[in-house]
Amino acid sequence: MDILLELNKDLIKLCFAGSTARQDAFNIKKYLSYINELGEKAAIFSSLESKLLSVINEDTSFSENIIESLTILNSILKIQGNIEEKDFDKEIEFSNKGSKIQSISCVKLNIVRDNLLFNPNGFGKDIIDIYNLNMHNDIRLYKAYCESISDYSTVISNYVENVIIPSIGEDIVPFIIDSIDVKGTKKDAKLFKLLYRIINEKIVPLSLKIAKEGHGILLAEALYTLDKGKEYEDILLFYAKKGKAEVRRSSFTSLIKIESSEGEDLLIKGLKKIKLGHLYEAIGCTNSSKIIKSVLDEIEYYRNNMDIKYNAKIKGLLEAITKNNNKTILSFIELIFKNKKHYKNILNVFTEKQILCNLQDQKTKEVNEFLYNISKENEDLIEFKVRMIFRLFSDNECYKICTKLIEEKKEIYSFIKDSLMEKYNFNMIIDRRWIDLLLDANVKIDLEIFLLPDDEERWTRLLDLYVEDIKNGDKYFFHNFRYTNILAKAYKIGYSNADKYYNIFIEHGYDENSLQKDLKSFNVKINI
Amino acid sequence: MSVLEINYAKCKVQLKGIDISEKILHNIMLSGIHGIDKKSEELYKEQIKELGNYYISGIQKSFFDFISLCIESKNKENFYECTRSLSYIYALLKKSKKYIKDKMENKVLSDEIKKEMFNTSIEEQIGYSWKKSDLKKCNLYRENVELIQVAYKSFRDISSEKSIEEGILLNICTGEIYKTQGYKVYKPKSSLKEDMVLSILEVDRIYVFPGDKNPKVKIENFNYRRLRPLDLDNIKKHAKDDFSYVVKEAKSQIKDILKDKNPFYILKVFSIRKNKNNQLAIFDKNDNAILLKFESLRFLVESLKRVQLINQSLVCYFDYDIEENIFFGVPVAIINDENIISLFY
Repeated sequence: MDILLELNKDLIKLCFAGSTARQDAFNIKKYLSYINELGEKAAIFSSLESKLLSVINEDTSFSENIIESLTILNSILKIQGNIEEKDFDKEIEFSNKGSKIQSISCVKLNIVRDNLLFNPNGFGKDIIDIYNLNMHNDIRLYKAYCESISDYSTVISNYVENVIIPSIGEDIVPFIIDSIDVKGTKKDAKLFKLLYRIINEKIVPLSLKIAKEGHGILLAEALYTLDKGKEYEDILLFYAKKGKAEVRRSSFTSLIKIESSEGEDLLIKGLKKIKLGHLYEAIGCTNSSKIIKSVLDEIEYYRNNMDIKYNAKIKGLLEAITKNNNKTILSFIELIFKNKKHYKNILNVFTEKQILCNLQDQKTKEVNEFLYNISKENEDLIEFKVRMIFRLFSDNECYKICTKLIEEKKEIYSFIKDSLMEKYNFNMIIDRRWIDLLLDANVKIDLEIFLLPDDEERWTRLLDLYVEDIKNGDKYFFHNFRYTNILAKAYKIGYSNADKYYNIFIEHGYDENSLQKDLKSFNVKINI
Repeated sequence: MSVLEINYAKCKVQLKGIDISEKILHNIMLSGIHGIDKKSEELYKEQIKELGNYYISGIQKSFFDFISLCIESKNKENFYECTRSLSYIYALLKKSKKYIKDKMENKVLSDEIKKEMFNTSIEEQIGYSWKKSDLKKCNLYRENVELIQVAYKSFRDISSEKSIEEGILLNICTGEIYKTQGYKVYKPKSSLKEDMVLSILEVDRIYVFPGDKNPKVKIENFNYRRLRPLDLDNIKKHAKDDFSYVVKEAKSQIKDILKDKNPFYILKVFSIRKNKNNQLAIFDKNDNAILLKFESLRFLVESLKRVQLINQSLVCYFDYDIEENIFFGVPVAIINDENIISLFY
């Protein structure tokens, strides 16, 4: 058979060269005796032999004879192309569990796969569709899901990263591992983070491989995962000393988490430098009194020796320590607030509000009480006071305190709304008095999230407030979706007067075509 | 003008076109594939465009395909497909000439001509587009048919650069496998669930184009219905369990250069094994093997449960690889007791 394949190659060469290769045809002669032998067994070889002889001997129809020889030879090869059955001696191992396979039509599979792989900037509607129908968990799409994760932020990449892959879970793990290039960059780092979310500490072998071969942001992500014990301290120390900024940042953070004394010393030593962006995260999560004391000493030192070149450093250190839940730090902040004059230089770099903003993210009882006490007598910090009232008091007490503040002519409505959002997390089951209070005060943006669909009265009041804005010639009138958004939501919950407000919007100048078009973009169809 | 009536004037024009085609082919073969460069490509294309005046658009397209393949082959330095295309044109011109001459010799269509016309793609290969009315007259249609699309592929046509979509449809009652080409079988509308889910198409009428084992079809009026376990049983009944016969039949088709080079079959899988190179082969009850090559999703086979594949059915198309000199099947769908798993989309 190899001889026939060789002959095929030679004929293709002749075909490639055309009649100019007429003199090369004698090369074919060497095959004739072999073909002749085969001709005794099957007639088709005799036909091939006679055609080859024509190629060699005839001056006319040289090219035609080559083509005909090739056609016959290809027929022979195709008939004979067999495998050795005995070589296939191993049974394949099937899975006990079986994979997830959905009944998706192949056309839809094709569209979804193409969207994932070739349309990274698309809206991913088909992907969202299959997710909504709970048909996304299909092993045939796993590879495409992993490949759709991109370096930059796109609707599809984000949706797959945040919704699809986390909902699939462990089944997709081998595909993620397969997709990660240990020497890769941002995309691989995203996949690595996803993998870590699914398999937690089981990721360590891969992290160690990346620690050996990887670089940049992927290496940084891998080093974050080596924070479970001291056995990887050497690797972390190595990169804390010589890696790039992002690599050093994650090394220090992990070193602090494993309470490495060598890591702590290295960090303290590093505090003396001006640029220490790579240390802030580690400072934000340290429990080491030694480090905290050193950081506070550093801040104290620069309070007295303030130079503009230290601004970024002091700001960074304050930002880091105010994220740290530690009593010593709270006492230090209390000290700053009590001696504002004394800490004037520092508060110029990092304001009171910035300090409290950072602190309030911690949401512990201690911090809440600290923030409440520090803000309750200070008019400038009333937003923190309102937020802490919501965190520390019961609903009734909270309502009483807030209405009292309003009586005292304090402008706290938007803070109330923000606090409600934080406390009730977009849940509509809140005390209706809050909604009335805000509607009375003409606070409307985002308020609809608290409105029950059948609360027609309050929906009417809310829409009336928007109409007032339109009448007053709101500058955002045609420039954003504020009005269409609220009307679309009213339509979607089945508010009975939605059509009426549609007409009122138009009456007051909203262009009907653009209103219809805008509503369509919210998937609302108008039948007026 | 219907294909069923002999139009002598048209046949004469076609023969003239074939003569010109032969001259073009002769010139190409004289200069060889290496002679087709940017300059001669334009020249040839001009000549091939002329063929558009002779009712031989199929032949014309095969020339355009060849020229595009030549350019592509030169980049890849692999001339197998290119010479295959040349052999195809050569065989097509030879057969077309005889077919048209035979047609002209008779006042009415002889049985022999009818056999060629209805059992091969010759008319389409020359350039005739079958109309529904022709197919209806020739009884080339079936009514009340239930189909399922088991595979789908879109690919770029080499000469026109257009995207072509090909669907593989399975007739549940007869086990016949059809192709639809050039357009989607059904276009998914918005996010309707029936468009997303693998569903049975209940078709009022399908028109079957003359061709080989897997003819092209056109479907007319259809509704969706859910796939039921009984449908899967029905499909599996048509699976071939004698691979030696299948291989013989498939090889005899692909060895003919004018026939479809990738015939589709439904096969019953008795066992599946691998060799030391990790290649997979399926076996029938007599231990006849068919080597499998996957487009993608090979991993899926080993992620299935045994019951999902063994004693179940596999829809495959056959192909031949000249480099490795092997004949093999490419799985496009698994049909088991629970579902149809499309591997080709």
